[in-house]
Amino acid sequence: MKDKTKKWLPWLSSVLIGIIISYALVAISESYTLSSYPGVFLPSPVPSTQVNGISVIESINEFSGDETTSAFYKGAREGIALSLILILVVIPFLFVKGTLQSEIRENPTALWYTGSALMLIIVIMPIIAGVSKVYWFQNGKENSQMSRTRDIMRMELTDVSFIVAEQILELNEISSMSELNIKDIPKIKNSEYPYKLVSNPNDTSVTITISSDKVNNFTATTIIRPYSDQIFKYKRTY
Amino acid sequence: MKREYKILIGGVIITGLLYMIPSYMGYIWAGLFLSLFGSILYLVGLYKYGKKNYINTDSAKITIVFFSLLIVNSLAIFSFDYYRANIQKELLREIRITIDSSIIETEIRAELLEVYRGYLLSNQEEDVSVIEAANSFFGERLKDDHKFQVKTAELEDELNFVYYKDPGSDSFTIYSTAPHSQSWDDDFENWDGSVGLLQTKTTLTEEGVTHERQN
Repeated sequence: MKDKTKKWLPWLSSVLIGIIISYALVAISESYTLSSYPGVFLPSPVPSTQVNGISVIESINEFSGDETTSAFYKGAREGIALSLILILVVIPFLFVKGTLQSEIRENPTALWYTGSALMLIIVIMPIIAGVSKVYWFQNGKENSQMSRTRDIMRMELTDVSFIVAEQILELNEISSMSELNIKDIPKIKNSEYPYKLVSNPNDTSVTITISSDKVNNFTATTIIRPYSDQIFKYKRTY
Repeated sequence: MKREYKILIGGVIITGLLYMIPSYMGYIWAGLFLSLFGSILYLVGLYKYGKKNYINTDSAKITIVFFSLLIVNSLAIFSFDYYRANIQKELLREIRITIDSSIIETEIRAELLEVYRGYLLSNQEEDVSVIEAANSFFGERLKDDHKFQVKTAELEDELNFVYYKDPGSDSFTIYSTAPHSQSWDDDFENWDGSVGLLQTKTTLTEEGVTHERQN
């Protein structure tokens, strides 16, 4: 029992050292983020996060047609190389070297404590990061799906509004709106969303509303005034 | 130099170079995975070196558990991040296309609808063609080189427009292209010589306005 306890003590110390190092890294990283040295790069136990950062910056560049000037982007490649070398090469080496040294001296050495504490960090931190990434990713995916549905609804409403505006112009007067059956418009007939059309002969306008409870009761409306300067106006009502 | 340091230097070189070379060529993800592959070779070498020199057999077991976890974790999280980056890239591309499509539609289709309104009103009194109605509505905005000048001038920094008149069918068409929106078909030939970009065709005829996304 005594031997067993002795065997675990150095590992317990390594875990504690690992926790202290992790907190120190977080604290340093936060202070650098807030400081005026954005170019300073701290090695991360999950280098793919930084690669993802570069990838996002490149996607945004493609989106906006601009070139980035951010300090992170400029120094990130070298920083990621440093992280990879540290995590995949240097720390495993420190661990093996420390273990060999401790076996010869028959006691855990400082190098062993350093190597094993860092080894624990680079093995455990990605698991924690991975779980949190999957959670946020799922959450973000649902939100982006809802946003995509809202975009589709808005685009469909715009299309329908153009068609209706054109039909009113062809009818020549707003009072003839009763002749219009919106269900005859193929876009509306084939749509999975309900439409509501209200004509207001008093101010010669027509209001078309699309809504869906699948996307938090999202409701969008266009007001068509076929004989005004702005033929139709879009508004989100909810 | 001791063998262990030779292994270390070999590991630094192979991991570093396998990342840096593809990364500077623009293939950052390939660099990341290649570097992981290089480091696996290094870790195998390091493990063999440790196993050969360890006195305690448990040390080899602990080493292999740590190294295996390191490789599996890295591979899993790199793959997940790669997947996520692709999704984000596609999402941004989609958002850009949605924005560009909406702007084109509300700008161009709305203007052609106004021309159509003018055409219908004019035809109550005299016989006017669609092309004449468009000429009179747009005036100097129809340039000699077929460039179409949009009402909102700032849009010309982001989108390109040309017009085409077909007297045979009495139609007036505006083609709109979005230089920052790579669309459905990467091989689609746009009217301006570019390839794979979002392109719409908005046509006015005596029957009304049609708007279609060509790519």
